[in-house]
Amino acid sequence: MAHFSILFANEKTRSDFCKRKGEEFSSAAVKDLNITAIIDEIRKLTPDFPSEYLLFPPYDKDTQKLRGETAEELYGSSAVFDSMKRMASKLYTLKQHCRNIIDIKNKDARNHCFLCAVLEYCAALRYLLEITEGAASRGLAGLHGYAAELLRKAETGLYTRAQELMGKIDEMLALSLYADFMEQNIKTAVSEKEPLSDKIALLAEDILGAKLNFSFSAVNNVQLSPLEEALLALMKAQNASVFEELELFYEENKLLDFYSLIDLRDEILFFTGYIEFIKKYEKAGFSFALPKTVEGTICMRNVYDVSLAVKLGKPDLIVANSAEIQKGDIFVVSGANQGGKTTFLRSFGQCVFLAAHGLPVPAEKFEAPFCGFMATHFNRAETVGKSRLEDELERVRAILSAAKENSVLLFNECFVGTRRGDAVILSEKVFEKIFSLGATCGFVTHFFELALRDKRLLSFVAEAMDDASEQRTYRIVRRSPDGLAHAHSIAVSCGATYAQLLAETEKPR
Amino acid sequence: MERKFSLLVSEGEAKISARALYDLGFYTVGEAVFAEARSLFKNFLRVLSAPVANMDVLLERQRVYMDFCKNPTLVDEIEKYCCRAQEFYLNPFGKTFRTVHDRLKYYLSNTLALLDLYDEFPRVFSKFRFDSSVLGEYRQKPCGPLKNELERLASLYTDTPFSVNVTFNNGFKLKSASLAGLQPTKKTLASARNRKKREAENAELPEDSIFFGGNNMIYNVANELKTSMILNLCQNISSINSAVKDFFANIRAEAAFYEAALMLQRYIEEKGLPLCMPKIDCRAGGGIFAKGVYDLCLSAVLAPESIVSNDISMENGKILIVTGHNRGGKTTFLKSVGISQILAQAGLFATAGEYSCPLYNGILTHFPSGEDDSLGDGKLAEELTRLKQDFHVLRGGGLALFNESFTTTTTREGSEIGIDVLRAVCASGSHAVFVTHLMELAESRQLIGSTVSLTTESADSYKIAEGEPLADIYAYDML
Repeated sequence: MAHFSILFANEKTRSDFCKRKGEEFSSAAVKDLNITAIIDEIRKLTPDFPSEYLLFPPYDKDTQKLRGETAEELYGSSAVFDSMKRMASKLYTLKQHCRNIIDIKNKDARNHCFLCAVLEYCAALRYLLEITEGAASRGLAGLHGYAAELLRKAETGLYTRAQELMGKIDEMLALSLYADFMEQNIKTAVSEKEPLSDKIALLAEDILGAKLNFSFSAVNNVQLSPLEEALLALMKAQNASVFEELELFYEENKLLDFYSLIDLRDEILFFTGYIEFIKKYEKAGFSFALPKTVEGTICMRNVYDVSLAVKLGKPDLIVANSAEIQKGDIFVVSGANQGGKTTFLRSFGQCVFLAAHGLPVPAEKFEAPFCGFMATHFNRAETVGKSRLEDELERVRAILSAAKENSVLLFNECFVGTRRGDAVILSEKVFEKIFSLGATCGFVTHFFELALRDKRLLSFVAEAMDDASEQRTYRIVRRSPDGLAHAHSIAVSCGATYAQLLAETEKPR
Repeated sequence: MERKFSLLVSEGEAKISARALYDLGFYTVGEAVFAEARSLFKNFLRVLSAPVANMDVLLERQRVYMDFCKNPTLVDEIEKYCCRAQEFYLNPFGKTFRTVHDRLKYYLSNTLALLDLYDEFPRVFSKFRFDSSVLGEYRQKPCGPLKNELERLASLYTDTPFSVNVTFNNGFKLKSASLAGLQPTKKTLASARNRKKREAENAELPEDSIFFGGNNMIYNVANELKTSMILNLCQNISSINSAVKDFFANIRAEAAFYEAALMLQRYIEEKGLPLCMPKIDCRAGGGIFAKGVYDLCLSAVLAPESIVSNDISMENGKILIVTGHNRGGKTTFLKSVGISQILAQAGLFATAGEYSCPLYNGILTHFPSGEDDSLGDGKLAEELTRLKQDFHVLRGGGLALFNESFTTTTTREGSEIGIDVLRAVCASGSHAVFVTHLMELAESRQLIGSTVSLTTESADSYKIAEGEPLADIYAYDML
């Protein structure tokens, strides 16, 4: 029976995902859009979050839909979300048991671990069946069917048999060890009902309020210590039938495929880890919205940079922006230095990236057509042996050859490594190609004249206050560029005006 | 350890601002009175920094203090026990134990001796007569049953058989254990010697025992288990020892507070200065009313006859704005109120002829700081930041003492800030004494609420009385 997936709608998408590991465009987008900052934050809450799934958005309509529906159901219902989190933790325990089955050399000990694994497996399957009952999304409803099928496949009465056997073993393990070092022997007996340590602990708390703990670790690092081996042999001699039953149980069920269930853990964690993260930020006042796939218009309301939210932590320190563009549009963002141009581009990019995973996006509303490819082109450090422009052009060329009609391309401060006139012409060439492909593009630049020269381009401007303070509003508005960068106030605050720099040179050494 | 008995009745729950004791000059008093007893003074300040806001607690603490006054040897008696207890505190560092049994022996013998002393401790109080219920009705649970159980552990010095309850992990790995008993309920069926004999006779060995005769691996693991168990016992005996140690350490610190108070009282009496037990008045609308209140710090630098005392009344207003001559005694007046109130809310005497006050939930002082440690934000910013940090102590009604605040800006702006601050003090249901030169503030006091204007009577009388702010304070005269 093929393993079920709530992440991939078909085998082709799964194999595409495997092939794309290490793909240049995706790793650039992850870096440029600060997806790593989001992953780092998710991992603080969910250390086992399978980040590799987040790094590569699926460019498959069906998979995006599958993920979107699953995310919607988990995001919409706290009860379902909590249950799936518990399911993931059950699968972790099962995985640990399976690891022990492989690691432990002693046959009886291995059989015991196997029994524990079977119990956990059956309990997890039953739990999964219960929590996905009546699920609406294709992913969770599919999980329900899958769990039912696995339970059917398991031997009838397997769980009851395992429980009975475990009951016998637990009874056998409720032990006291009588150690007599003079006589050099250890004898086993039923646990003391009123141990001396309990008496002392009760008296100390009652008289002095002192809290005592008489339990100490008896764990050692070896597989089974000689004492444990001897104890096991003693128990085996005294309970031969239980151990025979345990051995038989293992032999009859050893082909049980625990990994058919364990493999789901990462897929569940992909959703619960991300939703846990956004729940934390929603609590702090940030908005998230489920993305909607539409035809034609990209509509974003109050999108913000979630990596900035992670860094600053407070919604009142973040400015969100809204915009509406058509599929196939190229929008050019110019305006004030440190005015929020790149942040706006990144916000949009993050929404597209996360929407391609079907996950809730940092916005109040986000509607966009299906994205079949995404690429980013942000400034990078110079590569040794290549000019900056050469490097940039190489990357632009690669992006344009991979792009197609339903692509989203994001460029940030391109061609700054050449003269302004040349850069404008190069940019226009890129626009021509993008227009011919019909891809959607965001272009952040200081070359404001680009938007004036080509009326097909949509112009957005990062604004500053219209007074002497020139304070940034971080608002991105749709209007013609005015050619102002408002750089003077930043120079003043950085102490880099003419007078200040001159004063630095006049200080005594 | 859960506290069941406290000579302080209960820890004070009111707050004071971080620098209050420093601002009010307690360190100057400390130099004069406790020069030879620094740790006593430090402990005294610790208690002063948590004033009592509960009427019943305060009255009982006053009674305890009076009991200490009546029985001056009580502190020494308590101290004797605390010193003896010290001998039995565990200090395994630097000690060498040959075996874990030796360690157990050391832990047990010291702790048992300490428990004996703990049981003897109530005898201290039987020698005296007390008015306070804390001292008069002192009881503690006897340690006999605990000592009996601990004494049983001494059998582990030898190789007495013991039993441990064990738990298992998956795969039959041992997980944890705990001491279950010291005598096996069933006799082991065969000894190693018997085993050899049986082996020689080719007889069957008992099936319910594991033999580890000789130095084999089973012996090593079993021995590790035993060592872990004894070390765990040592740790638990140490916890018992620490609990008793904490008991004596707390009693000692609390008795030391009263010892310090008695020293301070003797100092004041030797100087011939007045003191009184304050009258606590928690009725709504009450405030501080005092006669002959003086600044105790001055006793360290001036002859007692040179110390000028003042009267104070909050009858006409709960915000006292004090203006007047430079070096006219304004700050001294402010400190005298603060010191008396802190001592009163510690359950002690007030440095006044008569002193009546409510119990405040917090005491805030706002004096200028000597240095500008604001890292470039300016002194005004430093002042305001400090005020904001401390302002929470006025929650639920407190006493705020301001000395020349907000002078690091223009007088107009300083007054505006001052008015705003005092309005907030008033709105929080707190009382205040505000010493200032800001005339705009003093003249705009109707904006604040229930205020009274106090002023210096003359440049050198150091007397403060109700009166309108002085227009000319002759500051040039000081040049």
